[in-house]
Amino acid sequence: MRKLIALIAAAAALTGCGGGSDDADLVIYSGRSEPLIKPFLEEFAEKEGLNVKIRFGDTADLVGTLLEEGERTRADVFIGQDAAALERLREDGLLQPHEGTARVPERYRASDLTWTGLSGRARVLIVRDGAAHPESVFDLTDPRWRGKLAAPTTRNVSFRDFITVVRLKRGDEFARGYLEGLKRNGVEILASHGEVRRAVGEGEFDIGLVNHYYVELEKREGSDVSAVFTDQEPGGFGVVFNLASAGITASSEHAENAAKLLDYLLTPEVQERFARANFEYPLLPGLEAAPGVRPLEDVLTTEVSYEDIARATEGTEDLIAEAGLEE
Amino acid sequence: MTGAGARAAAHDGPRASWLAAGAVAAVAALPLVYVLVRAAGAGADTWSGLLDRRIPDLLANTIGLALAVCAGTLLIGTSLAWLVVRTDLPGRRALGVLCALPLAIPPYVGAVAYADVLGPRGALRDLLGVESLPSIFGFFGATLVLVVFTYPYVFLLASAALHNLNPSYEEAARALGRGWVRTLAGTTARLIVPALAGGTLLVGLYVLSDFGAVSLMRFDTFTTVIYAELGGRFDPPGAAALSSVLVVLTLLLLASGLAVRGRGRYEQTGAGFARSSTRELGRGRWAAFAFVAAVLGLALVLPLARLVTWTLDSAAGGSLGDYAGWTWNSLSVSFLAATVATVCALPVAVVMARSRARGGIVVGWLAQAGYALPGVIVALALVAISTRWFDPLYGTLGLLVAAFVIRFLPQAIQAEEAGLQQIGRNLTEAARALGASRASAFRRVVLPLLGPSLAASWAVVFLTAAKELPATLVLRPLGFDTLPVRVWTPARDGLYADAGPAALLLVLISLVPLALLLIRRRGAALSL
Amino acid sequence: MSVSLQGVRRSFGLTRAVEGVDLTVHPGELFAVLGPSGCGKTTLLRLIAGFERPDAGTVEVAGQEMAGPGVFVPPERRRIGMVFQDYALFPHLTVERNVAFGLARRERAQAKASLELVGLQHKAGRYPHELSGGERQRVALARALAPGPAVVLLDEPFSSLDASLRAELRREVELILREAGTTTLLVTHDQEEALSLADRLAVMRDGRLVQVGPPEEVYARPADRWAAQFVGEVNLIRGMARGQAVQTEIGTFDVAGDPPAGTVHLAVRPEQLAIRLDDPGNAEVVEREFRGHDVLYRLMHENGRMVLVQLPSVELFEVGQRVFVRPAPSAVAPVVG
Repeated sequence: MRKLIALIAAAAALTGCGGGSDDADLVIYSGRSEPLIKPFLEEFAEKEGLNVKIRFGDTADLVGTLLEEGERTRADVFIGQDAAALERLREDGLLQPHEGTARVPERYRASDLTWTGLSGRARVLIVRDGAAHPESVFDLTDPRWRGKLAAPTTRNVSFRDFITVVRLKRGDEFARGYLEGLKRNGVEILASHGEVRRAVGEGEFDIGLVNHYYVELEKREGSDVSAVFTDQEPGGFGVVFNLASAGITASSEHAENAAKLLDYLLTPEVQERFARANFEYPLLPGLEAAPGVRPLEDVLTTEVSYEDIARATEGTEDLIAEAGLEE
Repeated sequence: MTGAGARAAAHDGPRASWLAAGAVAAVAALPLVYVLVRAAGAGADTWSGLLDRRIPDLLANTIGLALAVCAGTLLIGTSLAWLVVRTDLPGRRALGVLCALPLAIPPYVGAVAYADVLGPRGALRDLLGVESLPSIFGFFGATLVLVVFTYPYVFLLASAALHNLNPSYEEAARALGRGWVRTLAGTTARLIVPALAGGTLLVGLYVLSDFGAVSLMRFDTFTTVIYAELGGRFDPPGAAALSSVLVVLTLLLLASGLAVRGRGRYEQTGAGFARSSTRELGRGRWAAFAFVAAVLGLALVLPLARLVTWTLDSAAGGSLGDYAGWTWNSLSVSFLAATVATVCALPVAVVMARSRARGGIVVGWLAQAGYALPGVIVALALVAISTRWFDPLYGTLGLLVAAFVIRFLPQAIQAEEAGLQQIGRNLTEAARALGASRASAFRRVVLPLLGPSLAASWAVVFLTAAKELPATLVLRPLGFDTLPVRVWTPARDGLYADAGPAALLLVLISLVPLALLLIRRRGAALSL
Repeated sequence: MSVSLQGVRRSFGLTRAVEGVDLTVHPGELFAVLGPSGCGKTTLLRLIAGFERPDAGTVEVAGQEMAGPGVFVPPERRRIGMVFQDYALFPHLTVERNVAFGLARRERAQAKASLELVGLQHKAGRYPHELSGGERQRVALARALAPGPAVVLLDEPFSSLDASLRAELRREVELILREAGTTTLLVTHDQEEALSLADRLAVMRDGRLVQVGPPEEVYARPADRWAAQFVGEVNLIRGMARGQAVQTEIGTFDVAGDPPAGTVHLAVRPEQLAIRLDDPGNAEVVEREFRGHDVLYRLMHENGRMVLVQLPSVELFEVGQRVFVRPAPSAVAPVVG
């Protein structure tokens, strides 16, 4: 029996049972996917000589985790796929302001500097070259496009935020009708944006609902597809513009390191490299999108506040479920 | 002789086991209590909202899936068992082993392979050269995957029962003029009802608790919705309310399964017969072989082939060092869970086996609360309990191990109690008459004899812990990724190929304890 | 060393297993408790061993109180040796280690001596499953004897053996026990076993001791009808007492002691009757059970009762023959109320 206890203790010691993160200089919760952001975080850790621990997961799941943990969280920095996630955390008082974010244009950050956008993404259609497509995202309910349409899982926050914006701009009834129309048109729900772009790239569907950089990623792999920015007529709905965002937790024990990380991610040089690697829009003034990406100044984006999106999110989930699109 | 039952009551286990068993039971039942209390405290609004919008659909989905999977596994598991044990099927011995091996493939790993091969742009479509296939996702896909990867529970218990069945019963039925088909359907099937009920019950319990496979097959059941409630929707009372419904559902299943098993349990004279009637299949042999091969093709060849090809041309991220680290994490957490569960189960098993007092039964039931607690719920409860009252525990490996132990303790208890039942009380008494104290009799006589059962208990918990997904996702310490996490993360985004190497490693490390169980003929340890 | 029980009671729920037993086993004695299944004899043994706690009464071993009001010595400190019905040999230990189980490390030599006592020193390295039934029993005995117990308790020690082995082993075990000089208490339902082995025996029924005494006495003078019937075969015959004799339909029997005047019952053993061929006689042979050295006949007496007669197999009677049955010469039958 004594041997057994010793064995357990040894195994526990080997696997670092106990404190776990106590030796970390910076703890990051990242809803952005690992392959995308990990190189930048590792580069930062190496440059600063810090021991950085990262928890990757769904943005939504990580928001839930942080809300449950509250001020006891070990996370110092939260990185999410959308601004609404950070807004939700701000409302619960879980974020602290960081002066360094002031360099980001005001519409791409929280007014109280508690979170900032890191990069921007426009909600577009990926269209197979040569295939017909509507100019308005709302025309997708037209029977013409029946069976030609793919969308990512409705659990994806980008899709969800898009519907939330539709609700905020056009009302719940309109949004419901729109979702039902999509369903009627047999929209194929795939596991992720990655699947949608590949499905359109391989010609299985003509049109897919994605963020703009997925179009560029698919093009880079040699597919003949284009991005269609919908509702661009003057005074039109525009495309929904979302922000991958980050903030420092209110209870951070390594706020200094956290601030360093945000500053690092917001340096023009990193912003530019990030934009080039992922085709997202850099947010600092004066920086340009990667070659081939439609310049942001030529894009009509929907005017909406991220606070409103965050507040309306829950209603959107119910609406999607009621329309029978939840998958 | 003199009222054996009455004597047992007088001989309650030693006080030390009672104390230890009580402590284990209290911890094991903690999540259950938490969920029920929290659900009872959820406001009327929460409940009425859930009852209106979510619960009816979820009940339909979850119960429908459980029924379909149970029916499917009963059909496949029983027919495979009969073919392998009771017919002249070519290669029956080897096939018998192969038929149990899908237990090493977690259903969500199977789901990854199926989503790819049978999915909208999968190999099957290319093979058939058709434009598109009916979608694999949804009820059909979830049922298919769960049937294919859980039928071994029924198979193992049914073949053990068929193997141990006294052939005289069947011979008597034949001698009384019944044809072999009627004998099979009437006599044989009736006699193995307890085993079938036990196996199907395990399948049903698994279906209710499954998170990974149904998620990947994009079919909503209670577990997936509870998981979502914990995430983006962040509605802890709602999650607790839904959890309580799932717990009640599980308890109902458990009660009815045990009732069927108990009612069908006949006293059998003799057991373990060398002689057993073998049905000659004649020309049907090869048809039967084709059937078995088809099942194995679906359950072993297809997923393994896909995992191997993915691994070979892997462009997936992660260096060799990463994979080594994840494998080490999986091994160490499973090792800890298996060891702690095996030790914790011991006093409970002792109390259950040695005492018929009501207290022993209550302790036994509470300690086995894990049967009614899907991983998602254990995770939810432990997060809440630890952040409120045991903050230093939160986010530690210890908490994850605790979740595994609570969840898989029942398997350990069952294996060890079965072992203890084999050890006659008079052996301990003989030791005591020879001057050994209670503790020393236990150490010198019971423990050595219990060795094989402890090994079986350990292997079963290791096997199930290595495959566990939902609790790991929620409770793992920072930066502590295991192989299941590394299968799940890319697979959830549809990057199935990237899940390949981790999935293959996971299957390989699961094979070791499974082989241990199968070789030692302790497949029954997988039972209730 | 002696064993002594006074007013011992033990109930399980509503079942009274042992109901007020007083008993003393003398040092060096081989004592048997004989009774049918469920009479409480095993519980009695377990009370002495310490596996059960008496509800009332005291248990003493070697003059020391083991159980009584406020006293309870656990089994491991009672210096008892126990042989279980199924021997309870530890399957994971060799014969030698089984026998050495109750010995301290420095006393290991005693295990060898004990094995020699039962004649199994050559099987020391074997495991229990490699032994025959008889060998297992001797190992169990050696194991119980090795630590030099104050008293050896045997629970139905021969019941799991083949009938052919039983008599042989019985003798062997008796010799071993006598050589060891230990006080022995044996529990059995087999009257032949009890009668042939024991120095004294007790007949037990429904938790009580019906009769205690040497085998000859218990056999020859059963305490009551039940004891008479349980200990061996018997004819219960009604008769009229007249002084030292009782007149019955079969003939006049001498009786021991002074029977009460009037109608009494005699317990007449089958071997206390004699028959001779006689037509018409007073009975007819209806069944013959050949037992080798002797024969048991069932006769239909002319009064309509069945009579059992046991005779040496030197002269055989056939079924259907008419015979005359009468008391054997010098038969002294006991009165059983």
